This record gives sequence, structure tokens and C-alpha cells, in this order.
Amino acid sequence: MVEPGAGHGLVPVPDGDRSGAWDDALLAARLLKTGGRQLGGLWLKARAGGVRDAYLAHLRDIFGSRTNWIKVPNSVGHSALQGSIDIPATAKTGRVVTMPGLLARADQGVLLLPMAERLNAATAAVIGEAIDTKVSSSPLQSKDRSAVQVKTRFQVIAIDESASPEEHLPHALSDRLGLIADLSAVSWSDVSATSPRAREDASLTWQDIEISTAITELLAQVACAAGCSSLRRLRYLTLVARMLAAMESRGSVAEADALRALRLCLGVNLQSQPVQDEDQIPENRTQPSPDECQAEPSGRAEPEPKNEDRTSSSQDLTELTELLSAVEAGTISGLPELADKSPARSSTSRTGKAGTPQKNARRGRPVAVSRTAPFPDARPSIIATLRAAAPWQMIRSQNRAMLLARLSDRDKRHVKQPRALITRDDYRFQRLRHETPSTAIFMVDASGSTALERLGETKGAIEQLLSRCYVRRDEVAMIAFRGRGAETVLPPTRSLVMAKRKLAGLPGGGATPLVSGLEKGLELALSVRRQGSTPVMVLLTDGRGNIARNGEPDRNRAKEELGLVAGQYRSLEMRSICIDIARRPRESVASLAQTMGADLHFLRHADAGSMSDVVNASLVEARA
Amino acid sequence: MSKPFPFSAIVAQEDMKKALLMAAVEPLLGGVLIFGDRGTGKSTAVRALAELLPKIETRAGCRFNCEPARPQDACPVCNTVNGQKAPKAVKTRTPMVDLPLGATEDRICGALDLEKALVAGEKDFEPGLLASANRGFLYIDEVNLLEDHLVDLLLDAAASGVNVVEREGLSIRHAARFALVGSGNPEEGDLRPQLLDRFGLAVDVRTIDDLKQRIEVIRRRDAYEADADGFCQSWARKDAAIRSRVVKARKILRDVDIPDDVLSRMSQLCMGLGIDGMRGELTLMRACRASAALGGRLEVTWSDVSEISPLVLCHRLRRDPLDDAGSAPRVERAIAAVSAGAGHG
Repeated sequence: MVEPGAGHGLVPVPDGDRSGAWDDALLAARLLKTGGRQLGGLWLKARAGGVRDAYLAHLRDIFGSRTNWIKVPNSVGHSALQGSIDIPATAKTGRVVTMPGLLARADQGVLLLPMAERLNAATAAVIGEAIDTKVSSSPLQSKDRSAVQVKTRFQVIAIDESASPEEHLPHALSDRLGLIADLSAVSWSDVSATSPRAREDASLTWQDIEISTAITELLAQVACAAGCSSLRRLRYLTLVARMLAAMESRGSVAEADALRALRLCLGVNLQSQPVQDEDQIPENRTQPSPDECQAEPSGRAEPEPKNEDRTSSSQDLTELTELLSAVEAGTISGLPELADKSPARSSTSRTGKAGTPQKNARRGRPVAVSRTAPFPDARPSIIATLRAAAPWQMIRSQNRAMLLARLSDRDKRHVKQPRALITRDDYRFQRLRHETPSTAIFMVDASGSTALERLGETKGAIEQLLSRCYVRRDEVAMIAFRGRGAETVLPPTRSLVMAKRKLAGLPGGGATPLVSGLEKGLELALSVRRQGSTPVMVLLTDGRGNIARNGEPDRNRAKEELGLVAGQYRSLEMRSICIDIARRPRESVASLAQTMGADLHFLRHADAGSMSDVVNASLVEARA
Repeated sequence: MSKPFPFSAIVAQEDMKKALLMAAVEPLLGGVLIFGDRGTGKSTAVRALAELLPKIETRAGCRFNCEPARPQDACPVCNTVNGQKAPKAVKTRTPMVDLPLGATEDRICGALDLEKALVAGEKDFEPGLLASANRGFLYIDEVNLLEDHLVDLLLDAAASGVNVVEREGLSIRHAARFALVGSGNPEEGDLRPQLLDRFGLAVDVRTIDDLKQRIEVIRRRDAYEADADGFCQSWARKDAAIRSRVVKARKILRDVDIPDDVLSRMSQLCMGLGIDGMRGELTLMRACRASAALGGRLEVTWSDVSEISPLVLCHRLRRDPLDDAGSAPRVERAIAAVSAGAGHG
């Protein structure tokens, strides 16, 4: 991050004066009230606490008591969202009765998603589709050959409690929520000092508001430069700007409105703010490339005045253009973190089996009910089975009665009347799914002179990783090789305490049995893989193995064996990272990485921070 | 439901629009897969397509989309019993059936008619989404998030064109010939190769980066939201022009000819890229025919092939761990190589 306002004449706000965020949040609340359904809803970044409660209470207050608030648990199933058939009621009344889903019940109201960062992508997609089409299709079919569709218009308030950059709202949802409010920096005193009051809104509606082409262009450019290329969000930006102008009873959008809209929709701010992360980040981009903002000949965007939609006063857009150039230069704080922080998607797509959520898992979240058993000894789900059998009962009992009528009296005495007739066809199985964790396996060269320093750094990186990836249930292991062989210093673990205890006092120095280290790593990786986790190998070496597999010092043989082992890494599709720790990048490490199919990084001084960043990116990718 | 956004009003994204129209002209292509970032108008385009296409002919009340001349055995409406007259033939919109992610197997394949079973104790078949999509399109948004067991069902039906339901005395077979249209975001999960193969064309949609076009998108969207009917009215003529192009292309499709030298170069191209099986080559031929027909031409040229082949071949390439470039550059290189070779020979 660059210092806020460096060299750009932006006024950094002194720390401690954070009420801006609270005022913005209140403004977002007003916008939700007036035009929330056009804007999809609100992405509320807030951890649990008094501030959040106060804000939600304020929202309820604004919306009034007549508005529906439908709270959706984040493990919600599709049938609960979209509605299902109420079998008992159907049997009783003699016509099909449906239970409306949560989406239909939220009509004209608010869909509240607590802990939305834990929502799975498929559920988010269903909600997103309902936002787009304003229709929730229920699982029934009506007689006119189409699914029953219930009109529903609601706005979503997704509460995002992300603690780390890896967690965020599912894209399907975050892209559709026009407003962003971040309460993470709001202190309790701000909240109590400005007790919110619901205000009367102006008579103008946003449809009446003009927005000049110049402003629209600038908004588009800032959004582009901030790494947000979604057209949906750009549309929200212009809408919010117009709504803000309407609130102030202005006939056209002024610069202040545009600046505020940028704050509310993108979190782009002239003031120093805590870093937010946007996740509509296009891939593989660290800096917006010049051709993205094509309308700029040379850095400065001075929009040419366009007469056709100039409003009465010629507008002065200096602040906006200043903001744009600041965003482009990357000298602005509070910017969404850009692609250099987020793991770039590898173009090679060496996905293999990496991190795919295990299909047909034996434990995890229930995802669907199916007719076929997910694994051979699965037990049917009783409720689902009974539901499937229910409609058949009348048909089957009639059949049974017919068969009984043909039997002789003597046989009839042996026949018991069953309570429910269930046949094999009715069996239904609950499918479960759980994300496989990844395991980072560090293979550290503990030989030679720099060993101690390197081991220390690796320990630091491991501890950092563990503290970061606790949420994702990822594990870390470490193998050190020196002298005549390799040993597993730290078996795969999730526990920070254990890692610290095991890593205390590692010896270093001696020759380099690189082959043994790689072999040990491969064994461990395969066992990790068998346990259903995805291994990510991290090799720290200067690439000069001089001890063969049998522990004898034989440089040539070591080289030969190294080629074989490294080839195995590639053929088994191990995701691996090779970190060159020599003083000068060496050919030998590059060719080893090539043979292994590993990503190569140079860390002359393998500092813990950057190492854990690199590995973390790979771990996240392994799950993607 | 208000009218969907008009197809002709979609800004840029020419590849996607062309692919969708080709799939509409040639049902045997096997549909389109649209991959791309958020907010690039994938769903908008698909919903617009259904509105644009010419109507199909079936009978009133038929739920299997039977052709009036050829009723299916499963259909209780079109099959007349003891001399009753079948209902009259009607024209309906080309089916564009949404397959929601949360759909159950029963909903897709069809199942026991609940109402009749619970109320009267009668065994009757309630057609599912596969029946509704017959002779039209089956659209799956976020196709990469679809559950595995549902994917299996779809593959089965899409491969055979027939949906079979067998349950204690319910024994139904009905036609399920549809073009799959899938959209998704590859960052959220990959597709199984078996499913990838089923899609004839794959398009990568990038977000528009031209500022003027971006503003134009916003303007049109605003106008549409403000007055949907009026907006559709003002684009109706352009939509009609595209529709008549599709109708004409369908008429001449079977007469489009592929010259021998173009055919042999197509084979070279597929061999050079190591495409497995015949499916790729066959789809490439069909796609080029459809493309020429859309252009109103009766002969496929090499420029057709070089323009279309990325759409057909990119998603069929084997992943090459040694090649860092994506699949699109590989296809382009191969095309360039074949073109150059043709120039010398």
C-alpha cells in the first residue's frame, strides 16, 4: 500500500476520525429505502457487534414494521429457497398445495443473509437469478406446460463477516449488490454520536435526473482503473449517482454525487480508509493497462465538453479527474486490493484433481437428494424416501386390494396390513459434499551455511500460514533434508501450537541429499492425497544435490536420480512451488522446476512474509 | 414477466451472438457454452434469443412439443383415441427452458403426476423439463455448478435424444432433442470433459473494454428499464431482420457445399491439434456450414473455417502441461500453419 494521498494533494483524514464510514452507511440505508430494488441490495461488511446491531436496527426502523424481513440461513437448500410441495396438505385437500419458498416470501421485502461469505456458489446463483429475473420458479409444473413462476421483487442485505482475503461473498451475489457499506472501522462513539433519524425524502425520483456523458465516462474510467470491469456495477454507479442527486433535489448529477457514488458502490475513497477487497477483479492484472481506458490520450482524462447534454452550469470535474489519476497511479488508499494480491489463475490450468469439492462425500453439507446411492453402502434418507413414496400410497393400496381379492381365505390370514408401502424405487439418498482441504508440504534444504537462517524463515512462513489458513482447514507439514537423509520434522497439522513446539530447535548444516528430500516429500504427498486432501509442495533449495539416494556422496548419480524423482512429480500432477534460495538464480533450480512442473520463485532472502504469500496463493488456487 | 431485452440491442459481444445464432440455425451442432466474467450479458443474450427465433408448430395443449404430423406415443393429447379429433395445430415460441440449479431428478425427467396420484389414485405421467425443451433449447445458467448426478441425466438424454422413464408400471419414452446452452464462470469450477464435449461451440466472453461501448450499454439498459415495451418496439425491426436471416439460413443449410480442398485442410487442422475422435471434425463442418448459411452463401470458404474454428476447437483440446499459452493461441497457431501450408501447396 502506498501512503494515502502521496503527492496527489488528497487530504488524508487523521486517524480516529472515522465517522465518514458511518455516514456513508447511513446514506446507503437511505438509498436502499428509496431504490433498493433497482440496486439489488447491500453488501454489508461488518463483523458481529454493537455497531452492526445498531445499523441493522436502523435499517429495520427505516423500512418500517410492515416490511418482510426474511432471514436465510447460509446452509439453506434449494427446495427451501424455491418452495416445494406440501404432501400432507395435498393429500388432505385433494389438490396440489405448495409451500412457498423463502424467495417468494421475501416479495416486496428484504432477504437477509447473515454470514454470507459462507454461502455456497450454487445457492448464491439461485438467489442471483431471482434478483435478475424478478421471478422465483417453484419446482412444480402447472398445466400450461411451464414451471410455476412466482413474481418476487426483494432486496438482499448480505452480511459479510470475512476475516481474511481468501473469504469473500460468492461472485454471483457480490456482483449484483449495488451498494457496499463497511462498518469495520466504525467505532461505537460515532454511532451513538449520530443517532440516525429516518428522514423524509425529496419529491424528485431518480428517473428525472440527468447525468452528463462526461460524468458517466469518468465513472466508467475510475471503475476500470479500480479493477472493476463488471458492467452491472457500472450501471449501479450511475444509478446511485442519480439517486443521490434526487435526494438533494438537484436536476442533474453533480460531481459530489459521483464521488459519493464511487464511495458507496466501489469503496473508492479520497480519504484514508481500511483496505477493502473487491472481488470483481479481472485476472492477471496488476495495473490497469493503458488500453483499458482507451479514451485517454495521455494519462490525464480531460473530458471534452459535450453540448447536447450539458446542464445549465458548466461543470467543473477537477476532483473526479484527480481521483481518476490517483486511482490509476495506484496512490490511493482504500482501493480494492488488486490482482497482485489475489492469486492469478494459472493459464496452464494444471488442475488435476486439485481441491475439487469431493463429490459423493461421506460427510459434509447436504446438497441434493438423488435416486442413486452416492457410494455403495450409503443409507437411504428416511424423510426423502417417505416423501417419494407418499404419492404412490393410494395407487399401491388399490393394487394390493386387487391382489388380495384373488387370494383364498386361508392365505389372507397370513397377510399383514403394512402401514406404508415402500418399494425399492422410492429410496432416496442424501448427497453430501465437502471441500477438500489443501496441505502445504515444505521441503527445506537444511544443509550448508545459510541453513539456520533459512530454517528460521521457513518456520516463520509456516506459522503465518497456519494463522491465516485456519479458517480453510488447511494443513501444513515440513520435511528437512541434510547430511545423509531427510526427515519429517512436522507431520501434517493444523495446530499452531504443535507446529511451534515441533519446529523449535532444528539442527542445520551438512551435505545436500536433495533426492531423499524429494522422495520423502512425494511419499507424504501421496498419503495426504489418499486421505482426501490436496497436497501443495513447496521446495526450498539452491538445487545442488550431492548425495545419492543411498546416502553415498555421488554427484552424478544424485543428478540422475533427481531427474527421475522430479519427473514423478510432474506425472502425478503434484502442484508444486520451487523457491530458489541461492544468491544468484541458478540454471539447476530452473531446470529442476521445469522437470517437476513447478512454479519457480526467487527469494534471495527467503523472508517469511513473502514466502507465506506465495504458498497461500497456491493453496487457495488448489481449492479453486 | 416483461419482455426480455432485445437481441439486436446487445452491444458488441459478436462472438457470442454469432454462436447462438449458429446453434439456432443448426440444431445438430449441440448447443453453445458461454464462459465469461460477471456482468457481461450472458444470460441476457440467451433470454433474448428465445424471443427472437421463429415459432415452432405443435398442437394446443401438447406438453411434449410433438410435431402435428408425427405424434409421439407418450403424448396423451396428440394421440387420438377412438376417432376423436386431435386439438388444432398452433404455433408457439421456440422453447427456451431454464434448468434451475436446484432442480430435482423428477423435475428434469418427469415423474408421477402428484395431483392425480394423491387425489384420485391414478397413475399418470407428469412431463419434466426435458419434455418441455424438446425441439428447443435447454438453458443452464452456472452450468459448472450443476450437481453431478444431474449432469449424468442430461448427458444421457442429450446423447440419445430420447428420455426414458421406468417406474412400476410407468414406462414412458419421449423425444428430448434440444440444444444445450450453458453459461458459467470458469473460476468457480471446471466442467467435466464429457459435458464439455457435448457443447458444439464454446465462447469466451470478455468484458467490453471500449469506453464508448460501455457507456452505450448503460444507456440502453437504462432506457430498457424505464420503458421495456417501448424499448423493445424500437428494436423490433432489427430483431425481425435477424429472425429472417435465421429462417433463410435454415432453408439453405442443407445445400451449403464444402469444397474438397477446404475439407482436407479442416482435417489437417484437427490432426495438427490432436483433437480426439470424429466429433470435433464433424462439428467443425456443421459449424462452418451454419456460418456460411447465416451469411447467405452456398459455399464454405477457408476464411469461414479460420473464423469459426476457435469456437469449435478450443474446448476440445487436450490440456498440455508443457504449453503455458491458453488454448486459443494454440488454435490460432495451427490455423496459421495450415493456411501457410495451403499457400505453398
